[in-house]
Amino acid sequence: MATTATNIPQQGVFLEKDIDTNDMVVNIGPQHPSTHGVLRLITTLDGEIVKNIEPVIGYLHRSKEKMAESRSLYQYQPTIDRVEYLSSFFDHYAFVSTVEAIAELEVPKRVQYIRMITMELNRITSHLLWFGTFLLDLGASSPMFYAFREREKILKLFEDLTGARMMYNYYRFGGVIADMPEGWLDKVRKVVDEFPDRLDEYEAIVTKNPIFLDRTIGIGIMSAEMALANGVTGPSLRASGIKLDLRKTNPYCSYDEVDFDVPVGNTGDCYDRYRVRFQEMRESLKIIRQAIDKIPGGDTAELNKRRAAGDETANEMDLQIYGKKINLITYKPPKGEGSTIVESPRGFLGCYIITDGSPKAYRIKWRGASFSNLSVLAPLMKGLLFPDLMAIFGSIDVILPEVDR
Amino acid sequence: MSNEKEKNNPQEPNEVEASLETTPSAEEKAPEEKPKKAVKAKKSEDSDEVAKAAPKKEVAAQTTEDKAAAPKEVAPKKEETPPPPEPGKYGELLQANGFSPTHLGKDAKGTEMVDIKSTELREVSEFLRDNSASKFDLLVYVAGVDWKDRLEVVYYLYSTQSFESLILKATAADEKLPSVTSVWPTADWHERETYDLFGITFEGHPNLKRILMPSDWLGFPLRKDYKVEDPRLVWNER
Amino acid sequence: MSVLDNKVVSGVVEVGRGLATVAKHLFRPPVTLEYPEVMPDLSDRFHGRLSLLTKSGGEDLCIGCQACARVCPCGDLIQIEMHRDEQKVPVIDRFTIDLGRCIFCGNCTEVCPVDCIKMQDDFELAEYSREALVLDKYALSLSGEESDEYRVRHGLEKHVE
Repeated sequence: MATTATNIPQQGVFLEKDIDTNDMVVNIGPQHPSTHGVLRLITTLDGEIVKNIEPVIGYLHRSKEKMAESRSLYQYQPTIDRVEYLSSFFDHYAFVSTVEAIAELEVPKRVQYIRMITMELNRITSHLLWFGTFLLDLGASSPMFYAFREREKILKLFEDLTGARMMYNYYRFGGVIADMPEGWLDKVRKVVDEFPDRLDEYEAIVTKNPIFLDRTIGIGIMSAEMALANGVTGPSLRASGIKLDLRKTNPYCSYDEVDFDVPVGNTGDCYDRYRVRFQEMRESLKIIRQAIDKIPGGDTAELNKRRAAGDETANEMDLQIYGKKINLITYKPPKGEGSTIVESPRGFLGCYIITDGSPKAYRIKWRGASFSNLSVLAPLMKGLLFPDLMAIFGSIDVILPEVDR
Repeated sequence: MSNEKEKNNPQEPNEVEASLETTPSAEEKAPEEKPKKAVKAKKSEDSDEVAKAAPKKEVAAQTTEDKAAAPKEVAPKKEETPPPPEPGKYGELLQANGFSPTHLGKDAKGTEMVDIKSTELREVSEFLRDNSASKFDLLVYVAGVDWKDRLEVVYYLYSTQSFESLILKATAADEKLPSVTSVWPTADWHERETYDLFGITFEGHPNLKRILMPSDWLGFPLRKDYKVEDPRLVWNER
Repeated sequence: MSVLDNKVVSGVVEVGRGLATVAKHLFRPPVTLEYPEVMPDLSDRFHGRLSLLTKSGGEDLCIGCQACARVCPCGDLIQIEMHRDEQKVPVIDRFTIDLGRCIFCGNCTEVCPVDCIKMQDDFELAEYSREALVLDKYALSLSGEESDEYRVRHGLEKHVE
């Protein structure tokens, strides 16, 4: 006991004398409100100190990789939404862009911008949901209602665009299903303009609240080495001080044409992970604002006006939008393989596809960011206090469907 | 919204036709390095005929048949062997340091692919992680592939220094491979997953047991010869 | 001791600021809807209950090409049986959709060559039994007027012949 006590940051004085106690095994989950899904944690406790923790996963395994073997690519596409349902635009982007690379399909700039706007909006919704549930884990219930209120506005935008609030099924090989509805960009601009005020509001409630600070500062410090060795990516890695963002380092889509910063933390504790995600929402807003201004062709209403006036260039741009250029029912990409990694709200989302010239893919591998992020929990929790478990687990932002796939 | 669609209307019939015309050309663009050229001309003739013959409302059904027929002609054309791919940056680096990699060229996204011997896997991994010219300090994923005659494992590496990626491939002879858990601890779960779904044993893994499937599951689901017993899962074979 | 004092003071101030922010919401209009009384405003592209459009006169529009059945990710959810009469006109004998298994992805509506199978903005689909969720052609088909109204609202062609 004395040996483990030295590892605890900011703790009081422990008994120096070693009292002989038995370890206690506490089972958390699979049905537990703060595991954000169906996760079982077998924790071995020495008093209040976690000696060992073993995550048991697989309760949500829906065999997404096996499903790809019996479905054509187009048939498989709606099921991708369910890999990670909080930010499924990213799953779709990883899938679609890999197939596009294998088939060498050209993606029009307007499509790329639409994808960029939707992905960044999706990042905000994902971080908002994390914000609400993380604070719920810490015992604060009102931030969740505020976060869901803002999220609802963005989900309404998605509903106008794609017809669904969470399972979008919107991207197609070489395009998107349909152009934006008229006036959609104005709605996005309205939401984006009023959003910074809301973020300030959240910060007023949470960021300097003494209870919140006590529960997050110095808790669950993840060093950069530990994070990298355990494959942690995304905001959790950046909070540990490594400036790694695929949007900046390996730009895809049109991210090299917009200007944004990559927020980085110093210590890698829960508070840093909170700050990094909060800053990321503001950066996403920045990207969306620039993308709205830069999108080729502008709002659909303007395009329609140009088309009505007989402007041929407007027609070209619009026809490129539709993924209907290729026959989706039996679309056969050529033989080949490709691997994409995308910066999803939780880190590297990877999709590895091998095609064999048939409508079905030979092999599809999903690399969920949460899968690796969750694996750091065991080494990270070793020697820390049991009550901090849920704060740390919440701050890593794991979503279980992505872990189990 | 409805206004916008109404204005689109004049284009819509064209679009259906366009889909017919552009389908072959979209495929044309794709496999340029692959020996498909003779077939290409033939295919576009075919689809032209279809375009003339087919009434517009059955376009989708017709293209389906047309496209289903096409690849059967393509299949025998694949016998020409493509030229061996040129060695990439990291393949040469490995070769210069006494390893014997097989260069596999680049994947669709431009990531270099190298096939290495399974006996060298751990040494190569350590070398790639520690060498200052590569510094692959992040293992992104481990993926198994069943090629029916052999099992292959794909390692996707990423460097946080140079921001470059590399794909390592190793064939699991006798369904066994050395574990790289000692090199990248994150390989722990990824290798467990590959073991779970493909039945590849990673020697030296500290805790090799099933991770996604129940612990009493029989068989390895992602193998191509895995029989699905549940009738609800085989509906698509009809 | 002064550190503790500072902490107490700043703690009280910050908690007060948070409470003030929360209290402000007492004077704002609610953002929620009283659902059964107030229906949500859904978009034109909403993925709701599937339905079959018909010709203006109420005849079948579906040509039985099986495209929707082939792209459905849920397997044999859509089942179509058809034959052709003497004039080679397709006649749909049976068209069932099992809404209990539908995931509302919209693939079928996208590939339909005659714009026949479409999604309505109706999301209240609960039934007392699974069998009641299997809809046949008569339950799915809209009347001619309803179909025309749908086509006008969504800017589809009047009728694809």
